Amino acid sequence: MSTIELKQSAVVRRSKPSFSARMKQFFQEVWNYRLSYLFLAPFVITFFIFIMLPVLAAMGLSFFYYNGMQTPHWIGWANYQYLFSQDTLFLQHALPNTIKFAVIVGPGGYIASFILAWLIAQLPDRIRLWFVLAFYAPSLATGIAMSIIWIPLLSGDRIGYLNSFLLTLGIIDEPQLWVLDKDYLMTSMIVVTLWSSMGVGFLAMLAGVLNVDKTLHEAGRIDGIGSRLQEVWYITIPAMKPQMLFAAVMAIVSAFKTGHIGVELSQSNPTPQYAGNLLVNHVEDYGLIRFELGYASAVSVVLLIIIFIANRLSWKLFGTKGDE
Amino acid sequence: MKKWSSKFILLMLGTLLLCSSILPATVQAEVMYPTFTRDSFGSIIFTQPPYTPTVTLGNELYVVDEETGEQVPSPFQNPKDVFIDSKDHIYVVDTGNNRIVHFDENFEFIRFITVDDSPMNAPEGIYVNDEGHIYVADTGNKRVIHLDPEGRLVKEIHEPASRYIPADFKYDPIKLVADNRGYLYVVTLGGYQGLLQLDPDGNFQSFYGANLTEFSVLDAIKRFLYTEEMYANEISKLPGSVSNVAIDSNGFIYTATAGDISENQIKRLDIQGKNLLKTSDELTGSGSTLTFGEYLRPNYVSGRLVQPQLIDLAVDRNGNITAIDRSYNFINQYDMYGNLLFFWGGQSSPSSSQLGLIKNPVAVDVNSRDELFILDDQEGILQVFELSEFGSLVFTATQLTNHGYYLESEQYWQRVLDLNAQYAPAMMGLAKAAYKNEDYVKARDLYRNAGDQVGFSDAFWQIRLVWFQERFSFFATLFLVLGFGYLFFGRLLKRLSFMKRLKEKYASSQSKFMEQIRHVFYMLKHPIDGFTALRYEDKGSYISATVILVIAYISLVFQQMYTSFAFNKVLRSQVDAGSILVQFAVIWFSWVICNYLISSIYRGEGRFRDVFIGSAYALIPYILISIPLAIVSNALSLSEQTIYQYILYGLYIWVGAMFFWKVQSLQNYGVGETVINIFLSLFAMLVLGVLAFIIFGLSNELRMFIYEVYQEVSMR
Repeated sequence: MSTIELKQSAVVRRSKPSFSARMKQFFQEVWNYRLSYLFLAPFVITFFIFIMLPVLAAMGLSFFYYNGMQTPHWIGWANYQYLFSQDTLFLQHALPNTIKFAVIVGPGGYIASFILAWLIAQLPDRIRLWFVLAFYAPSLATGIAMSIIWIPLLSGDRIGYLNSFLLTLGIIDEPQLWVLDKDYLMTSMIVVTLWSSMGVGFLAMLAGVLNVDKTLHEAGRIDGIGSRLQEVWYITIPAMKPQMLFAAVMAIVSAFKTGHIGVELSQSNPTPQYAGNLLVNHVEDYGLIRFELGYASAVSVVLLIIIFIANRLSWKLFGTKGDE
Repeated sequence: MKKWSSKFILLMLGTLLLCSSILPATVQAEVMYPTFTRDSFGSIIFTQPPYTPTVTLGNELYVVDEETGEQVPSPFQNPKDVFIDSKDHIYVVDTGNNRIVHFDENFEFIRFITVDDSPMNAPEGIYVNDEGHIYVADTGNKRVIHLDPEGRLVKEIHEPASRYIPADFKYDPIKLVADNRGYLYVVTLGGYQGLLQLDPDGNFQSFYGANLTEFSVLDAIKRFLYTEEMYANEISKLPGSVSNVAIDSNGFIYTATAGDISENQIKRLDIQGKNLLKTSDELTGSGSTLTFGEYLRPNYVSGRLVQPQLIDLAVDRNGNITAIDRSYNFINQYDMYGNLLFFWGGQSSPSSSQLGLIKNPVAVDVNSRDELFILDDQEGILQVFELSEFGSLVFTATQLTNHGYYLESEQYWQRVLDLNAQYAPAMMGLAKAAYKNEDYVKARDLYRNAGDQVGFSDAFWQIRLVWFQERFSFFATLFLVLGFGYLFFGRLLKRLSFMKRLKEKYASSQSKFMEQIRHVFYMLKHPIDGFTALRYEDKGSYISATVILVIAYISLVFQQMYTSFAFNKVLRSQVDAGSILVQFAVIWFSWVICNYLISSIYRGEGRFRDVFIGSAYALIPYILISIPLAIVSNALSLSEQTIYQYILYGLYIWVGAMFFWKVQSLQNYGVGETVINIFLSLFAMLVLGVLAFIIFGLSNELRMFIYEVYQEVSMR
C-alpha cells in the first residue's frame, strides 16, 4: 500500500516541470498571443491604476498613521483596534445606522423594483416606455429632486408640504421636524432612498421580465399553472435569475454606499445627533475633515469587507448553480 | 372610636425616631390605610407608608357669639382649598362659612379673614404670595379679590373685557395662582379654554395651557363619514377642563385636569403653555405622554371606565407632585419626572372616622418641612401627615438621583431597598449609580430587575465593549486566519466533504421515521409540494407531528426564557412553562378543530389527520429559527435591534405563509378560497372561545346553585 503511494507521488513529481521551465512556457504563450494582450492592455492598465491600486493602497494605508502631510508611519492593527473597541461614534451610530439603512433599503428597494418591473411589463408596449422613464428618472435626478421636492416636502415648519397636509387632516397638532429630529431623520432617509432606488437594477429586472420566453408561459398553462402568482414563482423568477442576481448586487452595493442622503436632507454635517451618520459619512469625516487618512482607510476597508460578505450572500441566494 | 391626642402621637413618634436611630429600619408606625406602588413590571405591590398622620386641624375653632359673648365652636363647613405660603403659614378656604382661616407654621390658629366691607360669597380658592398678599377666588361673587397681608381689600378683579374671550365663556373663578411678575392664572369652572391669564391690573392676557381634545379612531371615522348635519348633532367633544393649578419654586405652573381624559392629567407648563411632563428623551425632549391617577381595580359605569378625577395637586420644594383623586379617593405621589412613587388611601368606610383616613379629599398642599396637608370636605378637617423614615429616605434618594448625584444617592436607595425589596425606583436609582460607577455587570442586573430595557441594553453594550477590547488581538487574528483559510482552503474543504458522506449515510437509512424527519427539511424548500406529499405520500404521521409539536413548545419556552432582556421584558424566574403550555395547546388545538370543521363544510379535501399533521409541520420554521435567534439576541443590544426585529418579522411571515400553503395544498384550494377559509377559521376560533366562556360560566353557576341547594337541605 505505502509503496504504491510512494511510487505514485514520485510519478507526479517527475511529471512536474521545474519553476523556471514553467515560467518560460508561460511567457512563450503570452508572446504567441501578443495581439490579444495588446487589446486587453488599455483596460488592464487603467483598471490597475484607477481601481486596483487605490484599493490596495487603502488596505496598506489602513495599517499606518497618515495625516496627508507627514510620512506615514506604521502602527499595525491600532486603527482597527480603535475602530472596533473605542470609536463610539462608529459603534453607536455609524455601524447600527448603516445596518438598519441597508437592511431596509437593500431588500426593500430590490423587492419594489421587481414588483414594479413585473407590473410595468404587463403594460402594452406603447405606454410602457413612459412608465419606465417615470420610474427611472428619480435615480438620475436625485440632486435636483432633492432640492425641489424633498426639502420643501419635509420642511420642519408649518408650511412644509407634509406638515401642512398632516396639520390640515388633524393627524398632528404641531409641525414635526422631519429631517432635523433624530427620531425621524432615518425614516426620511429611507423613504427618499427607496423612492430613488429604481436604478440600473430596475432596468435589468425589466429586461429580464420582458425576456422570458412566451412559450414557457403557454407550456406552463398547459401543465396546470392556475394563477399569475404561480406563473411568477415557477417561470418568471427562475428564467430571470441572472438579472435578479445583478439587481441584488446593485441594490446591496448602493445601499451600503449611500452616504450623502442624510447630510443633504438635514443640510447639516454631521447629521443631527449622528442620527443619519452612515459608514460613508464616517469615512469622509475622518478622511476629508480630520485628515486622518490612515484611519479613514481602515473604515473603508471594513466597509469593503461588509459589502463583500453581503455580495457572497446574494450569490448564494440568487447565483445559478451547476445543475440548474 | 379612638380619639388620639396629638401629644400622644408626638410622643409615639418621638419614641419611634429614637428607636429607628438605634435599630434602623425595623419599626414602622402603623397607619390606618394601605399604601401601594407599582413594581418594575407594572403590578401593584404593597409598600411601607411614606407618611404618618400627625394631627388634624379645624375641629377646634371657636367664634365669639355676638349675642351672648360666649365662645361657640365653629368648625370648617365644606372647606374647598388649602394653601401654605413661603413662611409655612396655613390658609384654609372655609367655603361654607365665607371666610379664610389662618394658622401659623406650628398649626396655631391666628385669625379669620373676612373682608367686612365686601363680604366673600362661597370662596373656593386662595393664593398667598411671598409678601403675604392674599388672592382669593371669590366664586359666589364672580370675582377675584386681592387683599393685603392685613386682610384689607386692595383690588377686585371682575370678568375682564376682551374680544378674545368667547361670548359663552363663564367667569366663575375657583382656583388661582400668581407668578413672580404678579400675573394671575385663574381656573374657571368648566373652563376648557385653559387657565385665564391676567396681568397685575386684571387685564386679560391670554388663555394659557389649554388641554387637547382626545380624538379616537371612531371619531375620525365619524368625521369622515357623517354629513355636516349629522356631525352637528353629535355631542360636541370638549377638551378636559383644568381643575386645579399649582406653582413651584422655579415658577413652573402645574395643572391638574379632570374629565373624561386618559392621559396628561397633570401637566407642567412652560412659558408658552406647552407640557413639559412627558417621558422625554434627555436631549431632544420628544417623548410619549404620561398617565396619572392610579387605581387598584378599574370601576366601570355603563361599560365605560371611570377615569381618575384629579382635583388638586401640590408640588414640594424638590418638584415631587402629590395629586388627589376624587373618583378613586387615592392620593398619588410622583417624582419630578412623573414616575410613580406611592399611592394610598382608597375608599374608606363612611361611618368611621380615624386619623389618617380621608373620606372625600378636596385639596392638598405641602410645606417646606415636607409635611402634607389634606383637606377633607366631608369631615370638615385638615389632616396633617409627616414623612415616615421610609418616605424621607425615598424622597432624599429621589432628589439626589433626579439631580444626577447617582453615587451619593446609592446609600439611601440601598436602605430603601432593604426596607422594600421590590421598590422599583430604588432599583432604578441603584442601577444608575452602578452605571455611573462603571460597574456595568451590577448595573445590567439592576436594570433588569427594575424592568428598564434601555438601561439594560446600555449596560450590556458597555460590558460587551470591554469584553471585546480585552480580546481584540484574538479576534483580529481569528478573522485573518478564517479569511485566508476560506480563500485558500475553501475548495479543499469542499473536496473533503465529510458533510456529503454524512448526508449519504443519513439518506440511506430506511426507517420510516427518519424519512418523515427528512421530509421536514424538504418542506422548507418546497412547502406546497411538501404539504401535498403529507397528504398523498404518507410522509407524516401523528407521531412525527407530536414530536414536532413538543419541540415547538420547547422552543417557545426557550425563547421566552433565554431571549435577551433588551428584547423581551420578562424575568427568567417569571416564565411560567405551564401557562405557556396551556395557551399554546388551546390556540393550536382550537385552530386545528376550527380549520378542519370550516374546511369540511367549505369544499375542502383534507381529513382531520391531514389538518393535524399539516398544522404541526407548519411550525417547522419557528423551531429552526427561534432558538438560534434567542441565543443570538443575547449578543445584541438595542442599537442592533433592527437585525433582531428583521429576523423575527421574517419568521412570523414565514410561519404565516406555511399555514397559508398548508390550507391551500391540503384542501386543494385556490388563493382566494384559502384566504376566505383562513378568515372563517379565525372567526370560528373566536366563536369557540366565546362559547367556551359561556359554557364555563354557566356550568359554574349551576355548580354553585346545586351546592347551595345541597347546603340548604343539609342545614335544615
